[in-house]
Amino acid sequence: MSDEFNWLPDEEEEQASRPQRRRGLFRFVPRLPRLRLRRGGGPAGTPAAESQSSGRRRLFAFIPRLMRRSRSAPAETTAADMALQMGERPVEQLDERLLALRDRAQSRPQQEASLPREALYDVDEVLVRPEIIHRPGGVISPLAISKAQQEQVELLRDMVGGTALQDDSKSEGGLLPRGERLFSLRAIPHLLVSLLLLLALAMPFIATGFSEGELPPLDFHEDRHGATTAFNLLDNLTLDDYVLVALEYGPTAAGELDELADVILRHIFAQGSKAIIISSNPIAIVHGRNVIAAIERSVAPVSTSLLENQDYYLLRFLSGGALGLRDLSRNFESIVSTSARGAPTGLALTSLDEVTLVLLIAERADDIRHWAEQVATATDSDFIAATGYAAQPLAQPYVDARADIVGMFVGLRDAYTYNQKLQANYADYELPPQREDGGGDGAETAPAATLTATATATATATATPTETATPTPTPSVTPTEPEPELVQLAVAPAATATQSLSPVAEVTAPGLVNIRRRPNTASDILAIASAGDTFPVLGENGDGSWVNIRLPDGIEAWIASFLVEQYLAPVGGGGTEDGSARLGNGRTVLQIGYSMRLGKPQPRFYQANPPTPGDRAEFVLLRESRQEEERLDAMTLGTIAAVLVIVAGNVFYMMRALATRRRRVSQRS
Amino acid sequence: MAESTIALLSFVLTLMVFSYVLGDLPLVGHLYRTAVYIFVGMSAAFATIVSYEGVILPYLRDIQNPETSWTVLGNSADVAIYVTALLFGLLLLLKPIAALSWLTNSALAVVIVVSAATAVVGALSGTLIPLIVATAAVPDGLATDFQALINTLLVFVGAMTALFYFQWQARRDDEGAPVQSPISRGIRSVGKIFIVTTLGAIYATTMLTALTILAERIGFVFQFGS
Repeated sequence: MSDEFNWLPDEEEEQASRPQRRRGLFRFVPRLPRLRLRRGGGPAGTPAAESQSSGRRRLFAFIPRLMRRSRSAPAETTAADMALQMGERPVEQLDERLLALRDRAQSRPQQEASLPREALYDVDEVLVRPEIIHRPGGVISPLAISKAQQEQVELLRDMVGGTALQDDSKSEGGLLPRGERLFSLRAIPHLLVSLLLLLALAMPFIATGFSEGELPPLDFHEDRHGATTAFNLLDNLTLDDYVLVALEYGPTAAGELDELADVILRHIFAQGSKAIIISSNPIAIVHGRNVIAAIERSVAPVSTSLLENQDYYLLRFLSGGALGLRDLSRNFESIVSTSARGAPTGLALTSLDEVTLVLLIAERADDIRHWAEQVATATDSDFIAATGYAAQPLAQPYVDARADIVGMFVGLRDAYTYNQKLQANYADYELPPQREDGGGDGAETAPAATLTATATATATATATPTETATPTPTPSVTPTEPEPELVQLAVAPAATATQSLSPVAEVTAPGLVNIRRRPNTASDILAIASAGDTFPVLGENGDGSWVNIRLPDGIEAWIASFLVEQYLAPVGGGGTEDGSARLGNGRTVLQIGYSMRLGKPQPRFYQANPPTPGDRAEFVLLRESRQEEERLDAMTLGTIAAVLVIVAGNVFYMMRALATRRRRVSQRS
Repeated sequence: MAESTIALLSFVLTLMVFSYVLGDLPLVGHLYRTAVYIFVGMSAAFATIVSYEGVILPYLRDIQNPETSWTVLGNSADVAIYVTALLFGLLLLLKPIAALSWLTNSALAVVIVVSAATAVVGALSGTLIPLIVATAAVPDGLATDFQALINTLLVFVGAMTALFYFQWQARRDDEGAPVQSPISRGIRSVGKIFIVTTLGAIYATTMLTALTILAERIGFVFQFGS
């Protein structure tokens, strides 16, 4: 070893200072810092070591390593800063090793100048210098660096003394700052291929003449036994059946699997069943919510919104991967008791076996395997899987081999077939009448024609009892508007003269109407009532356009006056013994839950007459066109274009290889 | 208004992602990166919120309520589990301190071991045994159903030859070079065909998924324009 490396630590001393390896459980016991005095902070023999070996205690041993690291000055944290400091130091302050290196570098300047490409001129003896290959690819140069990176390159170049890189970059395809080179001719094929694929996929959306190939069949093939069985299981769901819908896909697969989720959820809602949506992927909960919102928008003209924790349940996400799934199968009751927003769901399910069906829509075959391993084995409920094309080759054999997985749906084609089959099943059902309020916000601003018709009907009904009362000359009877209703209420034997009267409001508008927290259409919907529902009246707003009513659970609310008919009814009457409200035959809200997070009331349905399968056919019949046909045609054209590109590329490279081989053979000969 | 705003944002973000077709140009490249940054940032934020609201908050609420319990053991067990989880979480924070990183490793070891045990048990009971049973089962009517016979034969030959392909033992000749028998090379070649066919099918279906998603985005752009 030469003298210039004599500052290296002595090997024996280094071994002595190295902690001895410990075995067994002692490895987990923390080492206590050794309290011993040491003469010298560095290796013996070096000036630096001698200067630091002043006999002081090594108190640093008590300080955690993290704190010791933080003791370094900010200016010395990077190699570039250290290099700058070293470059600014006078020669006299350099230590021996740096002086030796400097002398060695200055002894060979003329020799290196003759080799302009030798950027690292002094390293070739111990290292193999890698060649920098400048190969333009992509639309621009593949190696574009920022201005700061360029400055660091210049700094490194100054340190090693080379200038070859700069020369190369000026020639072709070298390191260039971002923005100096925008385009490369070699990128044209890449750009053309991309544009060809985009054009092929876009043409079916532009013109109908590009509908190549055939659409998927209207029914599942006979050899798809699993898909047919799975569809029949979903079609046999009955009222209040619970379906555990697991959404295990992220944004990248949403374009494919949202279709499957949409059509299957519609089927579940149309059957009157309830969907319990769960996922081990937090982002999948967003997609579940989006799919539900799209379904709500499509049925808004004729039906009420789907209500969370009543028509569907959006559960908290399962953390921990396989552990979370195992937890679901073991602690099902506790997991389904909390929604994704942290509020109680009110679900009274205690076991996974109480779920009629488990439906998994997964992006990856591994997700199907995990659910089958951790969940399907723990329940006797039927298990259905759905996935995309990418996962099908690995998932299909697995699903076929597992006896407890009933069947599987795959990709957009099965979503199309499912929808066609579903539409055919519900073709004989009729849509419910249009909602009076049009659904959603602004519901109470209904056209005046409806109000006029209601008033006319009321006047007609008023005339009849007046004529009946005419033969009896009773001066106390005043022919006012509420009087006919009093006659009408006389049908009820409980209504006696001893009871006092109080104003009530009966919903007369057909369909379902909104009941809000405040007398405006922007306010929260507290309840949804149907024709025949009667509520006690507490008052009206200034212009009489809204009626203040009391809901059955005692909460005050408002309903638009043109939707109801007000009259006097005996206290304790109104259809209920407690005098609160009378329920019609439709769906009526009775309970209001409060979300823990927002404190926002969540309306809940009370179903006086629960719907039977088919009563909610609007979920199927009002499915909006989601461009399935165009997308399937685009897939066909895109596949053709991709195959053409692959074949053309292979032919091109094959021809080029043959030409190269021929040229080499001719050169050898 | 809100829906139209969301649709407009979706349209703009879709175009920003499509700008990647043009490559890493000075301005256009930033559009793609910005869209990806937005996606990653919002995903992380949403995951954090969902974890906090859906897991931590309800747990804190339930362990204070004597009527609710996350386990069948009651609220006292819930509290014990919560304290343990909190302790493990605090131990993870000690990772940057080298002298105490063994505590972090111990906490991680518990999680990893329990996860591995759960996965192994699940794989045995949910995958390996059912697949072995399904592979060994003879389909009904195998003697008369020619298609079932061919399928069973293909499954058997494909599985055996593909497994044999990953067998790397070989004899050495006099010069020390590895030599395999012609039979072994033939079986490996058949296994290679099955493997390549499987990989080709996976690639083709992956491309089909990509085309499906791309067609959906293009359809969204045209739908937004109309």
